Amino acid sequence: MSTLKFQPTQDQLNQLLWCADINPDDLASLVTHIAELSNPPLLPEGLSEEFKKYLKENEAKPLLKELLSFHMLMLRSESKPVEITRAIRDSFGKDDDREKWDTIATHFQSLLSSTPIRLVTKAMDLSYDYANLIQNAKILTDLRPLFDVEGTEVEGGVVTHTLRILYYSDDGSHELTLAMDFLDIKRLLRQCERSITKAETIHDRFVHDMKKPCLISGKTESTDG
Amino acid sequence: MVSLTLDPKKIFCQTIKREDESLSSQNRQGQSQTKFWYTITKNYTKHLQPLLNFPQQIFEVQRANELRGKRVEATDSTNMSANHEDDFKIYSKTFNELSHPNIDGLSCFIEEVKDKVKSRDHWTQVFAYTDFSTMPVYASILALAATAGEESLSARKVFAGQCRTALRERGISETILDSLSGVHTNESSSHPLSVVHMIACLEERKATDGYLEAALHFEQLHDTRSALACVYRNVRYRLRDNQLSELDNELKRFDVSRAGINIMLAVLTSTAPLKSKLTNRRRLFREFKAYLKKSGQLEKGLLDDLK
Repeated sequence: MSTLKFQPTQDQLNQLLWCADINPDDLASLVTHIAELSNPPLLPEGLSEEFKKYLKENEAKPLLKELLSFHMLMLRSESKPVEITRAIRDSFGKDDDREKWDTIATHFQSLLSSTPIRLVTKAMDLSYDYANLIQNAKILTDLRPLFDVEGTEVEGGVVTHTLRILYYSDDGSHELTLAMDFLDIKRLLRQCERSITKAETIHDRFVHDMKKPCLISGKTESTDG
Repeated sequence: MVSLTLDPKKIFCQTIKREDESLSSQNRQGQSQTKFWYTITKNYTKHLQPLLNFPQQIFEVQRANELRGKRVEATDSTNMSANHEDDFKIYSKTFNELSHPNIDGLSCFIEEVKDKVKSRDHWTQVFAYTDFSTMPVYASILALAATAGEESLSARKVFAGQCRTALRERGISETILDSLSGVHTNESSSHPLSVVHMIACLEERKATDGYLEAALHFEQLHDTRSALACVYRNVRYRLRDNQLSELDNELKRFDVSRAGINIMLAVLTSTAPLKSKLTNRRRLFREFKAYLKKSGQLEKGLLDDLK
């Protein structure tokens, strides 16, 4: 097995040590519960609720974050869970900290390789696995005045719209500016509303037919309505 | 519409900035607050939340097999980790020296590993840091057998759960582990090493001594599928490796009265191709037929082509 090494910051190490303070028996119960989840959620918040059934809130959230983070690392580095826990251990400088980590390493490894963690991480990854990803978009509306020949009087005006899109790709951030007229704005609005409807249609159909969970990228309970 | 960045470099700069903010808010006792600095501006439900932990990923330094020509900065942690690498391989190295997974061999293995792994803390490390995925499943069950009596060890409880999952994925009944998990039922009276031996009979790529006994144990646990697999697999290996004398001796020692119909039919069916060369097979057939007649289970055609 090749040797994976990390160089986390002190704050990251503190986060991991905070997780290592969790009662191992509570973690063992959580491991069993997570392994037996029949309908694992696809969003971190859903999984957080499952974690809170066995851990306190200030334990569940940091642990889940570390698990999702390291699972992502595990996928991208094509590592095994045991390599991750070993590398975490090696990143601690003190023997006391390593021994502390040892007490939950098996539990961490088991959770790291569990299906619910894998599904949430994969869902997050697939939601945004594209060459270009939108960061922000706004429509600027301005007025272009029409002047007379001498340029001393305003005789009229034209309202124009500019769609400005900020997006990221592999080579960094980019901006795209597109001129739009009133009809373009209306057409875009209809397309956006239609997309929301299509997403809900296919989501409901999938859940009904496949009896499996389905995630609409970016949508959570708080974004409903 | 707001999206979170996928750009690792930008995330890294953001992380450093947030970390400085976090460090500046340390309390008077010098303990760093558990600040969720990577969620300060974003609520937890936002997508790409886990990717904000990118700094932990971009700090991945090296892999040992990619170090060709690269200068490695030696640190204390590197040297210490090399020593721990050896410690963490104790179990796997000892397992690789196991010559044969019969009961005697397994017993010797347990003695040897207990001599090397002496404390609960050390066993916790074995469960956490040994790469059991490179070994057969029975190596994991062997670790449970070696720590029978340490059922309260939390890491062992989790490890036992992983073993159950592994068995389930292979279609082997999980009840086989009850005797190793401190759960006592009428069916879980198996000795821990016989449990390991039973699973070894299903995994080894050559015939394992005592496989017929293992098949009987599987049948007693109502795991007919594993019992039949045990018989067919090991007889096939005997025939493949031309171990006819060993096979004949096994048939000689086999007690028909202990076996159910399924096992008996499996033994006779799997040995049928070379029945003329197995002198004890005829006796076995006669005994089985007599048993079926006596118990009223001899159906017409049941033993056709098996004589």
